[in-house]
Amino acid sequence: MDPGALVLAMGLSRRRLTSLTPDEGRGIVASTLTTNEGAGSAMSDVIAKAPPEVVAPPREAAGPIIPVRGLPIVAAVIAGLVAAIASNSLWALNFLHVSCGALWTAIDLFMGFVIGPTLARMEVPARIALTRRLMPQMLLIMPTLVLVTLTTGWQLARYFGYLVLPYPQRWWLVASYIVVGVMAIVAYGVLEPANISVLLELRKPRPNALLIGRLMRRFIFTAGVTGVMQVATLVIMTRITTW
Amino acid sequence: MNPSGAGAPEADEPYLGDTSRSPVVGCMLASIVCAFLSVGIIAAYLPRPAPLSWSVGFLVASAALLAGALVFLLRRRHFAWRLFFAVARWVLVLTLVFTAMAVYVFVSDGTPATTLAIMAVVLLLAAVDIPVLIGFSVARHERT
Repeated sequence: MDPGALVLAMGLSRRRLTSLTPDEGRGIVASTLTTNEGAGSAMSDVIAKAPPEVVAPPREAAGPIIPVRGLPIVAAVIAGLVAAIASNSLWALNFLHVSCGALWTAIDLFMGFVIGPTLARMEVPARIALTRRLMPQMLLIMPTLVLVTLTTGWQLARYFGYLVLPYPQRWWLVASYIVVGVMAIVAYGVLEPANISVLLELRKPRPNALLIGRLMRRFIFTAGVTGVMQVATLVIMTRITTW
Repeated sequence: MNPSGAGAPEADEPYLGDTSRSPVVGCMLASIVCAFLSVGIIAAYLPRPAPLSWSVGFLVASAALLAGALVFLLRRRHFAWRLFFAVARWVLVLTLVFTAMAVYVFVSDGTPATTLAIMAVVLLLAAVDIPVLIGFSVARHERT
């Protein structure tokens, strides 16, 4: 996901961002939340057009970050996962692993290389509206997909006897552990903190453009690393299944 | 904001968040890496018994780094503790679900008791590491 487009949408270079005063920065975000002309406006106009009472986030933005209505669905998926493991059903394990793994890889690549560039070409208010609604859902969807994919993948490896394969074939499995580890480090160390910080900032009556801009630069880095890791996952998985 | 990021920020300065290189983040990331290495070494041998010395070593290192991170965290002044806990508790729910599922899988696979115990401890460490890391990384940018 590339909410960093928000900053690009504001028409701010890095140098310009760091030279803004707090009030200027807040005014710019306020403008992008309320008008279509934030990127090109003179700074004084921007601030003048953004009185505090106008830029308060919409009602739905004031609720919990996590979409609570999605939790029962997550619980149902996890219950299905437990049932598949307990029954040791090859079909169920295969179904969950392939479907969730495909979704995980596809969503990662789609967000990084399709939605991100598309967002950069959208109208500013549309970008912000999409980011506000999409990112909370991603906070539920992606961890669920990851949990199901990894757990069923391990069970399938045990089922097919991949765990007792000798080296050097076993290295393919070890490589998959390394890929998952790298993705986890990037997600927990960089991506999720920035994700949540931006969401929290966007929910404030006066979001801080300077802070959002700085956090958003991390997404460029993570999109590249995640893309490489997902391609590596495809290579490893297709190699293992064609032994 | 002052250069260290740990003190009270100046109200009239442009605020870019906490831009300092925090030892908390360094320790937490190193702790997570050590936890992953500890589990990874065991996983690379399963279902055969793994040599536990390296795994235990990484486990101890992970615990020490977590303790160090918590000390650094508790020494911070002007920190948004309310936001930290608000974020960390949701992430903790997530990591506990991951941990519970992993332990369930290893138990159902008949993993040897000693190996299982080490993996459970490492996974619990990671389950604490991750909420603290994400909670801190979010709350550090809150202007207090």
